[in-house]
Amino acid sequence: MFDWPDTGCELLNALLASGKTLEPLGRWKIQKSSEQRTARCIIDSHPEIKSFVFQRKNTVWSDQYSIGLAIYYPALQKEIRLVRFNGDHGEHTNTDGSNVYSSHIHYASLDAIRAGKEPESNALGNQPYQSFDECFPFFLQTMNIHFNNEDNTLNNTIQLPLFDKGFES
Amino acid sequence: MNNIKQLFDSYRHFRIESYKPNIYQVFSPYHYDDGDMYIIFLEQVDEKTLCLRDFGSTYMSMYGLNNIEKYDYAFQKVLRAHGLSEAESGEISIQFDITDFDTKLNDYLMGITKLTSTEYFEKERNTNRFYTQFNDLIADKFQAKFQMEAKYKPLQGEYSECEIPWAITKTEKAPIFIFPVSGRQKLKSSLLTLHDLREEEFFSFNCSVYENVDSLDKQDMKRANRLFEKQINSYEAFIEHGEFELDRMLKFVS
Repeated sequence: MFDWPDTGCELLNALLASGKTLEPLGRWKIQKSSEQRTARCIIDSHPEIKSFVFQRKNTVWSDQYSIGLAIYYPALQKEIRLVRFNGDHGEHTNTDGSNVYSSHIHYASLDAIRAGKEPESNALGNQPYQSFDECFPFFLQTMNIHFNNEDNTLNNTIQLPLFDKGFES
Repeated sequence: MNNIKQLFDSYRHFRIESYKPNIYQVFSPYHYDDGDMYIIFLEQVDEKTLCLRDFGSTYMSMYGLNNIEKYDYAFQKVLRAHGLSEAESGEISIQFDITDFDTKLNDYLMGITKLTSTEYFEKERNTNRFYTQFNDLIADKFQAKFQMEAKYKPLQGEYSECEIPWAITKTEKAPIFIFPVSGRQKLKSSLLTLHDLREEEFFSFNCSVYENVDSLDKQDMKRANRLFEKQINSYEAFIEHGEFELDRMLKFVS
């Protein structure tokens, strides 16, 4: 069982405590722009609030990726990211000044909101995944989300280059 | 490597680590809004030339902007101001002589800082960039073909202040009026205009183009459903299908 800190974020706490398996409502929508691929999939939808899983992956730099869960308020056009699993792209500084390294998980917290920062400005470092491929199943397990195998990830759409694209250009 | 490291001697809180042959990751005290460090690489192009680049990570870090293309106008202004270039892929880079290192590093950091200031761009968006983009689109693509008139005033006398943003008047049966709508207030004022037209028994084919239909009030939308003959739910849909829809509307009124 993943050991979450007390985030103070009611939505995240409610989601983690519910033990409800979230099924996707639609297929991934994939957006191709810049050096990245982005995909979103809505997992819960009400007129006032929608929840979705998102993935972002840099097509050149394999350490730069994000998988997360966010909510969207259509009336306010406001999106809040509850959790975001990142790779080892460099240092991250928490709102209390502490640094985390390696793969890390951003989580929405009351502390960050009170500090006037982005809700998910705090992160837990040293996570057990080392790549996008390892991160996605870890994310699903941690957040209790179920996706069908044939329709689950950005990986089906692209092949990551290791040393070619971007370096000679 | 040593030469490159020496460049950072006067930057106490910076350090670099080798990433690939001739490419170094720059660890700096600059952070995005979410606390992650700026993702910057320094490439040694040749003995005298360096290149700061981000492999597309800057745009990738902008989670707050769902439709990043909307901000392109403002982004280009920032890039120009700091001499940065953007590849088609979205990578932001600056190539420079090694003797200009200090100035160019500052330019790069300033540029990235401005680009990632999402609130700044949200503010830009709230100043109704939608209407500027919409008017530019009409002027560029449709105005000549459909003989469209801007700020058309169809009524005289008591309702002479009634103004239509865009109109196609050279039609047989009735003019076509186009209302770009970005928010609730604009929808309300457009509905009042339509109400005035009805009061004067002025017959027209009315079309609304919404920036984002989800942000509008449900009660207002019920009235809009009654008063608009045609509604296009997003600006993107209008870009894609606008010409077809205008052609189709013309068939109704000719």
